[in-house]
Amino acid sequence: MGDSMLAYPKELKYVKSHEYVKVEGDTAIVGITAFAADQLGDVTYVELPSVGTKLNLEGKFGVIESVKSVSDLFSPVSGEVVAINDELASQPELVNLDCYGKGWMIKVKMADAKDLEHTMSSDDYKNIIG
Amino acid sequence: MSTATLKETPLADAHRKLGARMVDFAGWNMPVQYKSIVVEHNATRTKAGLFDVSHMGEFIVTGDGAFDFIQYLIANDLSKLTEANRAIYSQLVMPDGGTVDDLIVYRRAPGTIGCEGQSEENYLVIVNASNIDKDWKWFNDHKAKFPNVKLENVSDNYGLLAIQGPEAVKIFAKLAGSQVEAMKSFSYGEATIDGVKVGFGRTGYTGEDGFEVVVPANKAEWLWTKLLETGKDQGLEPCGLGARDTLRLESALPLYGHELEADISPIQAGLGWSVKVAKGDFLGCEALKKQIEGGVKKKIVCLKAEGKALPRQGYKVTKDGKEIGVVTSGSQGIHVGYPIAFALIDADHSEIGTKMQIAIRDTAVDASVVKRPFYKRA
Repeated sequence: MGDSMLAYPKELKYVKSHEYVKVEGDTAIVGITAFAADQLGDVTYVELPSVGTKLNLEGKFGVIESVKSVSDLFSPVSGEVVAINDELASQPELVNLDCYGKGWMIKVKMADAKDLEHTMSSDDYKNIIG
Repeated sequence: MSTATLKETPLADAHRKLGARMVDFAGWNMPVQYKSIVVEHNATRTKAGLFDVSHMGEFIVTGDGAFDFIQYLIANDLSKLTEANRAIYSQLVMPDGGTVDDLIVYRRAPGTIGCEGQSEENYLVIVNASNIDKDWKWFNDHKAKFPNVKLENVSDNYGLLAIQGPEAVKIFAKLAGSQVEAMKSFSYGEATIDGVKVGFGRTGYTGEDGFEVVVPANKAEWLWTKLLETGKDQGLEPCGLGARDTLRLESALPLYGHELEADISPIQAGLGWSVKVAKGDFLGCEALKKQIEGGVKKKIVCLKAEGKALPRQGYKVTKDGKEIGVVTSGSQGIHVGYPIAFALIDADHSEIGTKMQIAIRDTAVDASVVKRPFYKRA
């Protein structure tokens, strides 16, 4: 599969639905993992919520489309969307090029830090994607 | 998913070596992409792409009555091939007008690849991978009236490679000789490359110029590698079925199982140009004649969608809130730069410019009927 070449930074948290969380204080930066981006292939469109949207834990926050397929995006934390990555509207390919950096999707002001207990470490995530 | 039961082409190892992502396509373990669908699509539009289409089927028809037999099976007029080494696109049609398959028939000179040592002309028929068994049965089921016709299913004996794109002919000419550059569209030729005899038609399924090359199965990997090396400097990329699908859709070429089906006739699919009801009796002739004269209720149209969400197979098409059809194929038009689709809709709404909506998840996305194809090469 070549997945061994894909990176899963240690400082991030991961969930089974293939999103990652980068925690900065009480804010969670959310995007999709390198595995998910690779599986989707060329991303053509990312539908994101508006700033102010309230998200539930594991609730749907958007849709990602690639040439090949379409998937829902699920929030690894509950809280309020405080920022979205506007760049993805004109450059959805950033998700393929730099999923942990310029390809981030939303910033969520976390309602409950305990939500992070549902996430996985980089090593655990690597195990589930095999 | 177990791949144990999937069939593989002679190139499966070559694909894995190139890091291709393999998928099950119609029971075949096939490369869907190497680098990315967008990279491969663009390479084929601007330079050249190399495709493994060895999963497709090849039948050889020979013997007395071979012409009459094929003429009876296909909807196009085989007599248009006025000399040997010419090809024609057509469909096999059921008596009710539904489509069995679409295919290319090559009328070939005596002794061509697969018919070595023979003194009579032969016909090579290339059919869709997903329909090989069904077509083989169809050919055999209708052979009774043509007792001297001989049929041979040589699908496993040959690999089939497609080299397509603006640089494709030049790259292929480096191996096969400069005479291939003068070949007309839908003509057939043969050449010997390093002692290996190959046959090729100036045909394809991408909307670009190029060749489809028949090569003995045990030489397929050799030819694949040789072509990739030869075309490297001109930007030749190996391309998977993903790009093959987006390229054919952008060029508005139908795909069996989507725009052609047991319940979608060639007339409904917009392939009337290839249906010759005046040629005399053939399977499906009466039904197709009726459809041409009386019109059809449903038709395949090309839709250009607004916005960025992509139409996909199975999405509903509506007009003023009323369901009028369904998307049969949809994707991003990678070269044209907007979402595109084929849809089967009520013929009343099939005129160019008609506005309608495609139900993409929770949204009715505006779309309009446009002239086919979405992309046409200059």
